[in-house]
Amino acid sequence: MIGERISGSFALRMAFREGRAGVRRIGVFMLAVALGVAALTGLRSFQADAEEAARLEARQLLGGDLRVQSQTPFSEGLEATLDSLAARGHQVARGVSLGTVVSAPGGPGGRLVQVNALEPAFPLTGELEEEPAGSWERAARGEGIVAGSDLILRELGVVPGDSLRVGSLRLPVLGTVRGLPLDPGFQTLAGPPLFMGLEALEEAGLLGFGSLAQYRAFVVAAEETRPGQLAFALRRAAPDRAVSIRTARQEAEGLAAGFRYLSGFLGLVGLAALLLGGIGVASAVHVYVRERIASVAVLRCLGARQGPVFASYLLQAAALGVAGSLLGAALGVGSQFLVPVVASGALPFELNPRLRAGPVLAGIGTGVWVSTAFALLPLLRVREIPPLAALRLEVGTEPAGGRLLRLLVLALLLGTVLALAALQLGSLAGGGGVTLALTLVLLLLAGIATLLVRGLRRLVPAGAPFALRQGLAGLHRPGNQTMPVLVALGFGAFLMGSLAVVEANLRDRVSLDLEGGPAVLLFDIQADQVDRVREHLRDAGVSEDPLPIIPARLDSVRGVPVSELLEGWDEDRRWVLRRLYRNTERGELDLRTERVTAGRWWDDAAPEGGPARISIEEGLAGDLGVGVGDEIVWDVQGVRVPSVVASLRAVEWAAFQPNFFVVFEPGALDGAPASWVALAPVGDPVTRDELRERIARDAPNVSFLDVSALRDTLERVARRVVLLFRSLAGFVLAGGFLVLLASLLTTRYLRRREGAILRTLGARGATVRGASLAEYDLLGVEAGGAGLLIGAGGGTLLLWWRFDGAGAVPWGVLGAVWAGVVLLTVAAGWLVTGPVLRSAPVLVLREGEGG
Amino acid sequence: MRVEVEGIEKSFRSGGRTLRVLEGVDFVVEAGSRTAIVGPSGSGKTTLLGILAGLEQPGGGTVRIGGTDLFALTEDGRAEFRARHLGFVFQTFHLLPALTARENVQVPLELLPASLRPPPAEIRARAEAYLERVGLGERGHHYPLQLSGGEQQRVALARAFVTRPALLFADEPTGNLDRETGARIVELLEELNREAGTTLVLVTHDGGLAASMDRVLTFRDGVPRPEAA
Ligand SMILES: Nc1ncnc2c1ncn2[C@@H]1O[C@H](COP(=O)(O)OP(=O)(O)O)[C@@H](O)[C@H]1O
Ligand SMILES: [Mg+2]
Repeated sequence: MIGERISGSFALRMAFREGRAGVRRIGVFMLAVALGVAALTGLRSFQADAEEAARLEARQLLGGDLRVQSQTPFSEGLEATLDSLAARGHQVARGVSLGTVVSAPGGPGGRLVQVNALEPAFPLTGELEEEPAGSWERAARGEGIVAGSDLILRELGVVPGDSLRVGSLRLPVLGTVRGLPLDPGFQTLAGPPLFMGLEALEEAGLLGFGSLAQYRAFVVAAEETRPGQLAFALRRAAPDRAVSIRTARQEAEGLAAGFRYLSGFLGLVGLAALLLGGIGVASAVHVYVRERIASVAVLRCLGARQGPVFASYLLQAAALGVAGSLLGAALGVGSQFLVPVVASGALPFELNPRLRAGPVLAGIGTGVWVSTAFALLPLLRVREIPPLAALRLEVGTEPAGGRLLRLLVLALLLGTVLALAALQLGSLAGGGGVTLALTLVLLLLAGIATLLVRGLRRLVPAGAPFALRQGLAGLHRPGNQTMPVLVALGFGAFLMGSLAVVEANLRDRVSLDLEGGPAVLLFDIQADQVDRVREHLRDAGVSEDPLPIIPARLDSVRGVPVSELLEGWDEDRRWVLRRLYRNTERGELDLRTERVTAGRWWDDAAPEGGPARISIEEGLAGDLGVGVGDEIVWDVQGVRVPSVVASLRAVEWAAFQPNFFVVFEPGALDGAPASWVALAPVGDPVTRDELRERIARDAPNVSFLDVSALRDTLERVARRVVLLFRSLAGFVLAGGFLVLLASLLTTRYLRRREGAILRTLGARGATVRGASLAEYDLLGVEAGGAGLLIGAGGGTLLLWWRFDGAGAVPWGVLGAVWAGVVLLTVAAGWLVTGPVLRSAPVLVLREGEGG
Repeated sequence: MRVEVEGIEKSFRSGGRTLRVLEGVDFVVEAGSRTAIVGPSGSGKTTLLGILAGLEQPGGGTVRIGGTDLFALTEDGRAEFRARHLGFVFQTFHLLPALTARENVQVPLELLPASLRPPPAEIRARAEAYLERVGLGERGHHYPLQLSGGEQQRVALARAFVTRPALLFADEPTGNLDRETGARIVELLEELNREAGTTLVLVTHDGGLAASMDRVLTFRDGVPRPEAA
């Protein structure tokens, strides 16, 4: 017992004494750990803030205790139930929100916005912030329109007092308002909404059949009534699942789940940075231990047992892990408090960040665990250093007993990664996938690095410049940690590369111009307007006909009612059964974007009496489990319409053409309620403006979307997503550079000594510096090249897997990133080691300064 | 090559105090001769050797080697001078850890000015020949870490001699080696001196080694003084 206690404190004392040297050696690697911990802590704290805000503001966000929402007007039964709730003292108010195009007369083309039309009773809960006061009251009475924020007014190019064209109306902009219910999803993607009175919306003629509207009702329960009970009553009145009934609590949970998903995904990046830090730590400890062989051997000679010596080093690693993690946690909390400043407006609610013990402790714990676990592998060597090493330096044998231990530690590391990834994603399978992919990429990077470094050394001819060969040799410098540096940098480049490929492909695909020029999109064309719109299109030189859109839901598939099918299906597949399909009917195949893959397209007249023939997109057919000859019954506005699958089609969705999952043969849906859309190229801006004017006069409810406006919206969304991913990849790349920096700092003295030896042997200063530059250059070229190439490969695979095929690789972008990586690597190397290379050669004579 | 040393002074400032190490050193080393410098630890032997090889600037005085005033040259000029004419062996070997034994031996040849540099194949052949000479013909592909202390010092010797320098400095070349290995190193040194006529200047603690030289300079009070050999 006493012996134990003595050796325990011995370990501590030794750890403390030696730690002073350790801090200098490994300390920098802790920065990489800190980076990862910062990301994890920051994200988890942000997520907690967001969840809390979602809970606190759920009622206000939802617009009440309860919201009923449907893509079609409410049924009479549902309306009656709502009325009876109002009669019993609950507050009930109605609204419609829809996506439509508004424009400033005389201003630039239109912009797709969300218009929320509400009864004057709003807001049912919470406070209204408006500027100027009374704006909403006036807007609710139909006197004008108010904006969800200044932002949208600026984008439309109007100020309060100007007017906007909304459908057939011109409405003055009255001001801005916050606190009315909106659609957070739409806001996050496309920007803040406009609000107006419900009656004015009907007057504007925007509510034609098939418009992209959501009909909504909001309920605030009277005292003593649980919203859940009301939801139950409403659900009985609207058993159709197409009507969504949501309580504030469900809304909060939905939002929270969204944030959990987002931060779980983003946290993977933090995890990747942390793992790079772990790799850095492992390699630094490896070097450190090798330097310590002599002192360990001396300690062993002096009678220290294996255990305490090992423990002393483990303690050092853990202590540095704690330091790095504390720093990281502090950084993470700092960024948590920055989020509300940076992201204001992009979030549907206000964040009130506060220090949270949970995420901070979790971040620190993860950081300490990862750095200790990664240090374990190289530390095993400490146990294997025999006292004899003090006498003979060249002892390098590895006892066989260590192998099992080493395997165990490796298993522990893999387990750690798996556990962290699984926790982060909340799914074991997801965690396994990430671990597998991560391991694969890292192994690939390590493999390529080995091959290239070894192979290059053989390939470079003996006659090549001395500096180049010396630089190449430098990659083999003991303690240089070439491999971890290459892997860490390469991993950052990998993320950059895959991102570049995916981005370029998706951008290429969503080309919004039609063959005849920039397109205009007309939607919500009503039955009695089709002929007039077609005429206007002809006058504008467009030959395309408007296409009908017939909304329908599935009623039964292969004779089995949807309600029965739903029971057997997973939640994430059920949507296919429940969703509203916007079908069309057409005589011809659209050869630009479609191709029949099974069955036959109809080129004859419909057979008398039988079910209507349909052609169905092959992916959907797979999801529904139907093939040619199977029967599907549709519910078209309450009417059951039987159909039989005549063909399957492959559809190129990315092409900017109206595409449909389901096409009926012509005439099959005659008489069914429909609206029409037209997508037409109108290259000449003057013709386009004329067309806009004529449509606005003749069919004011028709949304006329200059696709360039849509392009703005799409690009805004794409830019946000791309920016997010870019900064994440950049974050990981920064982690890679930290590992590089740390390795440079730890090899500074080695490099200085090497430079001095070379100078003693007669090398000129330029030669020594050239060798260093060549080394950094090789590092950057290799890491960047391998990482980007693997990334491009990975991105291409992803495109094939997720998007059926990949196009060109953006070599220009990859080349630029590559050059950037090389430049940064050389610059970092030069900054850190340049000064020491200039020291005088006499240094070689003095021992103790080397190594 | 003849070495003329005149009035060399060197002092170090550390912690505000000045430590005078060399106080006006004068001596001449004849071409082809073998000189030992001895003295207690800390007396300035290494400092002197560093100045003789042009690794460090003296506080005053001149060093002429084969008539060239070392410190009239630029830093790079001295480097080139070393590459052409000088060899150096350190007490702690100082092999480049990232290079194999053979590559270490090749380095001085590769650093020669282009006009004097042999073609790559010959560089390699000569390095191999010198490794053979020091008994390490089979170990050329090993890295320094894979070699014992004595073997590393033999590689360092091969590296010092591969350019057939006119003048070789050695700072306690056997100081870190066991007696037997040390004796082999000395044998090699003398052999190479006999064959190439290399001028030897070496610092040593080994009385036997010192006694086998032509001349012994003993450090006393900051100045090496000749003693009867
Ligand atoms: N860069 C330096 N700064 C301060 N003192 C030095 C420096 N280099 C050498 N010295 C001192 O000069 C003296 C001579 O050193 P050195 O030439 O290495 O001695 P020797 O080789 O004879 O053992 C010693 O006292 C040493 O501490
Ligand atoms: Mg000395």
